Amino acid sequence: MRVFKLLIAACVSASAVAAWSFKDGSLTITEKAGTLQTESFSVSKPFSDPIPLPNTATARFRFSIESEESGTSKPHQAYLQISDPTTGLETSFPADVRDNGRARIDVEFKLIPKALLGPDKTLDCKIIIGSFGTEKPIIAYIGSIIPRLKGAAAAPSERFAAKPEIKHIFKPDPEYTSESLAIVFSAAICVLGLLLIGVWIYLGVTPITFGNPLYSLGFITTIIVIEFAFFQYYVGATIFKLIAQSAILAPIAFLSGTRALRDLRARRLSSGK
Amino acid sequence: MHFTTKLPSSAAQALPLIRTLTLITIAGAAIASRLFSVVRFESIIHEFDPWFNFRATKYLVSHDFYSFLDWFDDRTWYPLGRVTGGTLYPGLMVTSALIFHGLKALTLPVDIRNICVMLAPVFSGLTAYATYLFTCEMKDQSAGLLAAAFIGIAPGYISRSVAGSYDNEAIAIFLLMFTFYLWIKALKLGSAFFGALTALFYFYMVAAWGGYVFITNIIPLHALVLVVMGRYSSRLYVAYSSWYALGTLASMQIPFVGFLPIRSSEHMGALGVFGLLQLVAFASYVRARVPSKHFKVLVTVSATSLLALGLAGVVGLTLSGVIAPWTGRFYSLWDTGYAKIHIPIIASVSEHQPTAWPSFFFDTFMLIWLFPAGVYIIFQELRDEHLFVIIYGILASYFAGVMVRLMLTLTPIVCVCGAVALSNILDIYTNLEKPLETDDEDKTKKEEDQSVLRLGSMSKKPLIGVFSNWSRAFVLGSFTIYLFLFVQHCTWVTSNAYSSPSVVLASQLPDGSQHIIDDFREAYYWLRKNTPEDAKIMSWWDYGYQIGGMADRTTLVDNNTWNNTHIATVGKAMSSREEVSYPILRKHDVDYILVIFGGLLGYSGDDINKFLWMVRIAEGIWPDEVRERDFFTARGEYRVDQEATSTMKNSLMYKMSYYRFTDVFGRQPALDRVRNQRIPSAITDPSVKPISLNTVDEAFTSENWIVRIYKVKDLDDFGRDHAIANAFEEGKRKTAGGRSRSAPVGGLSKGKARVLRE
Amino acid sequence: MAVQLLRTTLLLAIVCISYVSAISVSGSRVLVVLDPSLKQEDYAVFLSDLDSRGLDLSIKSANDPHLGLFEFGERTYDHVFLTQPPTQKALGPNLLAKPLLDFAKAGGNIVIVLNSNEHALASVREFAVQLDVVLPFRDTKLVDHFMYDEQASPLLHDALILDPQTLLAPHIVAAPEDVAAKLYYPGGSAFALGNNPLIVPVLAAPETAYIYDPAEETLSSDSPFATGKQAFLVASLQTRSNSRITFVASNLLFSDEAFSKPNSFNRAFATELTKWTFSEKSVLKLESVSHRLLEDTNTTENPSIYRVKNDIAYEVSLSQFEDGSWFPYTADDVQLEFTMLDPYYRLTLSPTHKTSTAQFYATTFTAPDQHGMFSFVLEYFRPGLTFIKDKRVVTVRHFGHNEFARSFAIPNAWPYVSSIVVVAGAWVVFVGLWLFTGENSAKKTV
Repeated sequence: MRVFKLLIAACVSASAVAAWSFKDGSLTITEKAGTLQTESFSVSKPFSDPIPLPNTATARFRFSIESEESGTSKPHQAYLQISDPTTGLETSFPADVRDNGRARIDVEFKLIPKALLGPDKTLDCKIIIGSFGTEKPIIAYIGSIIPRLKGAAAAPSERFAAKPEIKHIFKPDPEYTSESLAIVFSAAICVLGLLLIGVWIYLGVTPITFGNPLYSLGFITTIIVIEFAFFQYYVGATIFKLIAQSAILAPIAFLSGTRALRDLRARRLSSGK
Repeated sequence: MHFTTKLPSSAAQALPLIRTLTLITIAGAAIASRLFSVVRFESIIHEFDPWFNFRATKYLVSHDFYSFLDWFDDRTWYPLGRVTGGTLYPGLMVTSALIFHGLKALTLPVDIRNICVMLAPVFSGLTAYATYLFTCEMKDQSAGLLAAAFIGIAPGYISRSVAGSYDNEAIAIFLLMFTFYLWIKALKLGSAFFGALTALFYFYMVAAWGGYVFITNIIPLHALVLVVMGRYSSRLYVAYSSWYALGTLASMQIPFVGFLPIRSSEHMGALGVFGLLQLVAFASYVRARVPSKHFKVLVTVSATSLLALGLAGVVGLTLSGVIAPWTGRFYSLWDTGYAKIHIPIIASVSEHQPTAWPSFFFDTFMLIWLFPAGVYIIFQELRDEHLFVIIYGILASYFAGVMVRLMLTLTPIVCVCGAVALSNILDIYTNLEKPLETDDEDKTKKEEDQSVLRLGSMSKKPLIGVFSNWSRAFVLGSFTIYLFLFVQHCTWVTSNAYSSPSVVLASQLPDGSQHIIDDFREAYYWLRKNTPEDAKIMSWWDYGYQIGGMADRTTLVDNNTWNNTHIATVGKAMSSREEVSYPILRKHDVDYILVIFGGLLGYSGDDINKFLWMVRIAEGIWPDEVRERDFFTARGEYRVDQEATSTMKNSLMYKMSYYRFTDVFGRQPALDRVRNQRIPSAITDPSVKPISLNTVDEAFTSENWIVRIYKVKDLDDFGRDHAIANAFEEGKRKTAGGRSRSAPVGGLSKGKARVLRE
Repeated sequence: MAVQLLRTTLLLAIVCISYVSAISVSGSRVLVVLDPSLKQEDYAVFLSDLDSRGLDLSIKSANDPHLGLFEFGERTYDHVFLTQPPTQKALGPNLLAKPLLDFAKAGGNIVIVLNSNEHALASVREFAVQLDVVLPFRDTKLVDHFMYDEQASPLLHDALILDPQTLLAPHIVAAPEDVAAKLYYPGGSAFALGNNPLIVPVLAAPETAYIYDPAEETLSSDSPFATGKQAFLVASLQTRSNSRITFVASNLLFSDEAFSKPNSFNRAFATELTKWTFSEKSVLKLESVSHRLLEDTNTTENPSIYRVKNDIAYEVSLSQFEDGSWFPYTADDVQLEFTMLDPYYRLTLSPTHKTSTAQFYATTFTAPDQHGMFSFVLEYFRPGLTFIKDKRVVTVRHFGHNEFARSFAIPNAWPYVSSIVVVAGAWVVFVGLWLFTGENSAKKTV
């Protein structure tokens, strides 16, 4: 094997200025149905517009390799390199080169790596020709193709990097009516209450008489104290405090209330007669 | 009834004492018959839900009331958590805590577990008393005693109140009966005081059980029927108004109930009847003051317009979403097929299935045929309170037919009606005296009785009755035998069907001795001792409460089932391939997976039998990814043997259940004893690939294989796929020969696109 | 706070002192497996460089029967530098793929250097495949007809001169400031990489290079193993447990000959590469993590429970190991996620103060209006740096019964509140009137 390698080396002469090149480049996009498009290219003149490649099509590149050095037209490296200019990813397709230098590369859509495919990605095509020895290799841009991917592009592989920031969006706070409106309504209610009390007083107040003031006064005092206990609970006392207070106050209210009301009833009945 | 036996006055004085003693004995019998499981096993909390109640009670006892109210449970529903304080009925826990603190104040420190275990039997004694009071209002004290005896031992009630069955129903049935008693009392007396008491116990009931809706609807229905029958009275008005106003306000204090009484359709009936009563009351007030000609016009116009207005209001509010429409659970009460189609999570619970007819007989024995007789007797008299019994009977019968668990609400009324019927029979057949003309004493007695007219007219007719001692002896004898059989049946059912804690299983050894299968507790204890305190356990929701209660570990889903999507996520993880499940497990920080497998022992309540529900619930959320059809063979069979579908065989649940199952059998056929199918074994059949698990490791398998616990692997240290890493560990090397031209990555292979390093 | 700071500083100081003598955070025992065919003299500079850094080298031959990575289940070395013998078929039972993986799992670091002639052995190949590194076929050559070393291989084009400015991983080997510096690649092959996220490519072949098999592709390269930048010369991998593994495509990169070429960057490259692999640089450490309620600074640190809409302050500090001691690590891309199933917040932490050993980072945010078990996730995964991962689960609870706005603070409620007050007041007045009015009232009111 090593001998063979040396053989290659020996074949290659030492003239330093010679360079590889190609001519008669053509790109044909074919499908089962037939040819879709044909473009031509050369070392100095790439095809002008990016060429779409449907997902069932094949891009057929044809060109003739020339060597300024006599003897061979078959380089060791004759690649079509397809690269994504945005990510820098690339892949190469080796050419099938005949002895006379005719090279052909058929790029089937399905042979394009998934990582290069995406919605409306434009891929650059370059031809690379080089070989052992001293002859100058060449890398030439020949144009761009746009593979038309059907469906979603493959998700990119995970890479560790900073991710975009996320901020939680809060639910909007509940909206309240204007304070003035609330005050108007509250005032109306207070007025209504006062009105009610006024009507009672207007209708029914006669000179105050005390039957047995102990029970009556006890009763109304307990009621006020109970109201106060409720108020304390509303302001923030625990329920247990309220329960304890009620446990004391309720029997008092009950006892004094029954006595007071019984007295009252008796007085009313006696005066009604 | 009218053949009341005259008793000597000394005996009459002793009657209350005898009654009290009888009631105490009945309560004792009720408690005693519920202790089978404590005697046989130990003082242990049963089943599933009680474990949560127990855990919540422990929390309440160790914290103060307000922190219980604001309890955010971060040990369940990981990572969503549960606002537990706001989503439970606290009545049960508060009752236990009160008893606990009360006993402690009496210097009787009792372990909270024992209080929880014994709560249901103690309350069953109280239920017997409440039923006695209720039945007394319906007929008389002898019927009341019979009813108390019946409810004390009726299996339909025992099924939910044995010692250790620490569930809401344990106290709810007592509250139900007592509230009904108070309602009848309030209605009879027209007393605002009793109305307020009804409201108070209604509040307790709301605090204790979701079934309070039954009261919320049956009392208004009763009132409505009374109004429609023209039996409106100021007593009804006072009783109903005081109950509704106070009860509704009180019920809204329970955080879980909140604004439901004014927002949900289930409560609208009570509100409507309240409004109607106001109208009727107003109408009767107007009638007293307006000439009847005008009155009729007034009533028709105002009634129709108000009714239309009210209806339109309710419909409009429902449509606009202010009033919540009927919930799914409610629909499933009317359409038994509804749940299976729309809410598989409800249908998957066995106690939500329709009742099979033998279970009526099983749960109430002879009472089920005495029940119609009792209703008939009550119908004959038909006082206001009797209507209540009839309405209750009809509704409860229907609901019990729809859902097994509602057998529970039927049982009390069956006992009441049965007692009425039986006491009627006994009244007639134990009356040894020849019928006489009614004397003064009878008359005064009858004045209390509303049916005095009918009886009076009856007594004028030719005497009808049973006067032959033979027939008396025959009937009494046969009923004595029935009663004996009833007691025997109840004891037998309680002992055999309703006293298993289901946490501990009992089996008989060949020599007849009892063998305890304690796999559950073994596994939960393993979790408690061998996993980090904050480990997250994934299991099917049935075991959530038990894991929380016994293993004290965080669970993903539990029996609360408040979040269907989360349950479906677990279902999807269980029913998918490992590659699909693993990201779900990672996302939910799952450390361990617990599966229940009964194949070795023949325990039929295992996860493979519940598996289709997991699939169905997952399919409800991800119909494209999980399909029930894929788990059935081409012939539509649910199989686990070699004919099982590949979806079945590749599901995480199947793999975890049968992982290394065949190794136990060696060269014997590996028989799944639950499904009676042979699991393909790699030992006997070399063509079978043994089940391999890539993303989980077996961590623990209990003695009888009922509980299997798997640990979820971490991401591979080297960034490999778990399948590859596992294959490497098992010695199946990836081919990477020196001159191989088929490089898996990077290299070129003919006809395929290269994989680029991005 | 000050006391705490003092305490942390003291702690850090102690930590620093204990590490001062250590050259690497994971230890200094290096096993150099040198094949007999490779003459130690040819790599004298490289080996003496390692030695002078304070590493404890044990140079052993690959066919040493006592070669072992573990003894009684414990690692016997901290690092392995493994060259490939061209002659033997295997490296012996102690250097199979599984022991190597176990060694890395146990925290050991590995450098694998392929032989320029025969490349890799089956066991190393198997090891590499597990890591998603695909080693080339035997005897293949990397050539580039554009950028070859005209002196070393004027015809075969297999000795390349690379531009160190194209180095891919600055945290592993930074590009030299001297733009004239050259990296000599005296021959060998290259390998391909899969998409394992843990792999960090360090040096790729030039765009026009390719790998061919001299045995099968004599006349033209018709199916190259890898081409262009998809062929890699040096690549590293850091495991999730922060062990480091480096693959080098040719032993000649480290030879004295390559070191002595004009403008050679090889020596610095070898030093930096081994420094990285042996955890002597680019090692990060999470010094402290704390979170607390923003408003009160005297609450306990790291509480386990917060409430919805609490303002939370979060602070971490990071240190970096370099040349035997810890320094503050400053960066602008440290991120915190506040996650429940999905991240609710992903915030970039801003550097605040620093101590002599640690840089502090902090941020504040308001807990989302969603209760649940949230995690503070600090995942600082950057290629070439130690993976920093910290996850703390806290509970975010709902509003308690007494934490809502009270009814007197809500204007909507005022009419209701005033109704209650009016009714209660009117009732008291009514009771008063009822109790204390005279007998006549009974007549007056019907």
